[in-house]
Amino acid sequence: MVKRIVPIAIILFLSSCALDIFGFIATSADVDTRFSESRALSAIPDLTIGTNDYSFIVVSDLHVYSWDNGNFDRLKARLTADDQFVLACGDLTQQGELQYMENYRDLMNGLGLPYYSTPGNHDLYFGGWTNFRDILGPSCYTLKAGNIRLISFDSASGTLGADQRVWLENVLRTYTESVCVVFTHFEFFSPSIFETQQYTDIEEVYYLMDLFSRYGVDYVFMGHSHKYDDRIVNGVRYVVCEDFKENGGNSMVIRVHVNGGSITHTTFMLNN
Amino acid sequence: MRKGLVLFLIFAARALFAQGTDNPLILQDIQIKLGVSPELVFNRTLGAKSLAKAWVNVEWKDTVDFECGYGLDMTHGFTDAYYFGAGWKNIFGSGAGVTLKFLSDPAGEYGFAANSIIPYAEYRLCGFHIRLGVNFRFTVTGADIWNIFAYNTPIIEQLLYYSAGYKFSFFEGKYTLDLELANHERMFAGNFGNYGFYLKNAYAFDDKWNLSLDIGLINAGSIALSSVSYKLKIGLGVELIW
Repeated sequence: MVKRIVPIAIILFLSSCALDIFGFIATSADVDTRFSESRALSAIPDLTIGTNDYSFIVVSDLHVYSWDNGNFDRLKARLTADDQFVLACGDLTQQGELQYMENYRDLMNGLGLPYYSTPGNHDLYFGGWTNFRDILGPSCYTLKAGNIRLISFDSASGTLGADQRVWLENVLRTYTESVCVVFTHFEFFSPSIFETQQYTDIEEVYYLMDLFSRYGVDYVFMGHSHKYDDRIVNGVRYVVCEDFKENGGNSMVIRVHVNGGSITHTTFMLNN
Repeated sequence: MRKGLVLFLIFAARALFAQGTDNPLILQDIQIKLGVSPELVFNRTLGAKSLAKAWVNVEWKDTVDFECGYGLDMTHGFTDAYYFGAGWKNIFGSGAGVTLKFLSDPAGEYGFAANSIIPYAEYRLCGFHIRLGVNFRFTVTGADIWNIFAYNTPIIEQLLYYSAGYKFSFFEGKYTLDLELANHERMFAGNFGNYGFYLKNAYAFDDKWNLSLDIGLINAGSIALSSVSYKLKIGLGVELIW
């Protein structure tokens, strides 16, 4: 039986319309391409918030498929009047396909708040970058949200690339807001030996940590490992979000509280 | 984990000292290698840099060895890396070996350093090799970046240290070509996804010296799927042997 099933499965797999052989080896749109295409898109407009005391939501690793398991409804039920927008730290979809990306957009729209997304490695699979770009917009951008500076940088391939590095340095050098929040996908630190991937090069991590420290970044939100981590290094708070798990289970949500020039965060699990 | 580390240390210490009590060290059984290598690195994010590296290996009866080395980042004028380690190779003729290594990878221009303690095991058979270990990495910052004893740090990580490869041998062993997949080099130990494909060429002119040419293409990102080429390294080396 197994001898019959395996060849049939292989033939079906190879004849699949969605098969992208190159996608198994490397992404078809590397980080420099994504950066240049992002810069060519319209800038994300600033978000006006009528108060300096508010909150926003951070989620990560949603891995949305083409269906809805109800986690977005559970999140919506937990939103408060203080929540002003949502940040999503990558792996928005399971594999970047059009129907998954459209479903992500529709589910996020259903929350009724502005949302800002950064791509993860899963969003690039099988030509996913094109879908991300066309549906969600640029992968790296900055905007002013209320009294804080928000910066998304694209780490979905585990590296910045030279052009994005220059852009990021320039954004950090020129921002004037009293609070700065950076969000990206790959986490900087490996939580355990069983975690097989993190931001790739330790020298580049040290470069980024030095940059964030020098320019007074308050928070860096990351995802990827699906494990919560929170630490302060040289005055910068690095938080790795546990996964939101659109497909079930306990899903972590981070609520960030902005009170004038100070910023703190709390977490809660959706199914608890 | 700690018990395993203690057992490993006892094992390595026995390799270094216990054998000497039965068979006193004889100088002619000691082989000393001195290697130097200029290296060029092309990093897609941080740009190009040139390095100068030197290392010394002292080996007794092809079994017990001690090695240390230093690398200078000539582009930025900082120490690139330094390390020392001791190992017991080819234990009882089995092809297996164990090594304990300390590696410091300072990034002085950014004010951080990665201090790694790396116990690893290796097995060699008919040109194949496989190496597995744990990289206990302590990120230090500020005044501690030159302190090799700073272990109470905000970032402590445990990473898999791995390599596998095959060594082709030509011209009666004078020329060797080593093909390797690894997330580490002599003076570098990367994250899991920071793996590279290496071509290591060496030509032995005689038993006193050899020339080497190492090329490494290092990857970034997750395994496959979202990965991109990240770094190219080219190193030309000379090794003198006594």
